[in-house]
Amino acid sequence: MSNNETEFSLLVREHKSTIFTVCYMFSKDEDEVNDLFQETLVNLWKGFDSFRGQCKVDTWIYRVALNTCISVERKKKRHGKTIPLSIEADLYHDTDTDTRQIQQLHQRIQKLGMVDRAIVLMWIEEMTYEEIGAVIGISAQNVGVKLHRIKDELKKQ
Amino acid sequence: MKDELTEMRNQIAILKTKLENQDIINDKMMHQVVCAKSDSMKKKIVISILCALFVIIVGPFSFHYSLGTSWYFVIGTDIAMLYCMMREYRFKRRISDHTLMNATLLEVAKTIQEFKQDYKTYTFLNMVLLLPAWFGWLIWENYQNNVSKEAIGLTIAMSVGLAIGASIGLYMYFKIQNEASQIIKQIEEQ
Repeated sequence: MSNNETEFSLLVREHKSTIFTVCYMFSKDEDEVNDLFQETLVNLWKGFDSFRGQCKVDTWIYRVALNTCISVERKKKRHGKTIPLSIEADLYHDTDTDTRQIQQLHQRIQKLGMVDRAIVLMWIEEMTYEEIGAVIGISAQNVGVKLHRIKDELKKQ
Repeated sequence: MKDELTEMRNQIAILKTKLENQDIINDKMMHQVVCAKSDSMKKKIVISILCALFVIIVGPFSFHYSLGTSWYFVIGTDIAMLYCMMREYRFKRRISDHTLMNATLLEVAKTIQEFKQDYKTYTFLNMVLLLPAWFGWLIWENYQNNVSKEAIGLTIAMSVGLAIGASIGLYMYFKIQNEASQIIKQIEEQ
């Protein structure tokens, strides 16, 4: 592996939970999570050379992951055969308390629109309004307004 | 703001804890990811070059030797094809994965919207100006070089070819427009 590839590998392993969480919240089943996750990794790798600290790593990863999840909905394209993720937990079928909590979260997020889903996920990750706005392309003030509206929508669920 | 969103924050924390000790990414996957970039780029470039060479060299020559069209027609066809290929390549680059992945969601929507409009204009110009002009020229050359009955037969054959080509072109156009609309719809506020 070259230095670049090693650096990239370390970066994605460090942020694997973030990437997986985004893909999980935009997917309907296990196969889709696999596809989205690997598509995201490919897109992160494609953009890795040109990303040199223009923004925080978290912001960059979120931007690529979200754009991937939205684009893949459209294309349903595969980059070769999907390799199963090395994950023991079955977040779609397990029935323990923790998994049910996660599934409840998944169901609530799925009912939101794409942009609202993205905003909520980033807010949950404790990104600032400015950072969220930078990913979506709206002002920090607008993020606050949208979060307020999302809360009202969640209450109705 | 606190209750629902705070509860979701707690639920994400549970998810993150669950994922913490999982490997998720294995070496085989990393290898495939790293190879995917260079393989797909190379493949696209090679296929594009081969298709371009085939169309530009073989296509027009077959017109000249089988239908007796002039070299002006061959050169004109080459230029038209080059123009179309360059425009297609530029469109592809504009909405390439690399371009989209580094943009904000709203920039993606704006890029797709602009692409949609430009592609619509490009297709309209092709269908209304370029294609009729080229086909008219081909028919004229055909009648200049072939006796009547042959010319009629060839015209019918070429018209069928044109109809098939135009249908495929229109199908691709509507597919692209539809895909672009899907992205915009997903990103737009609800």
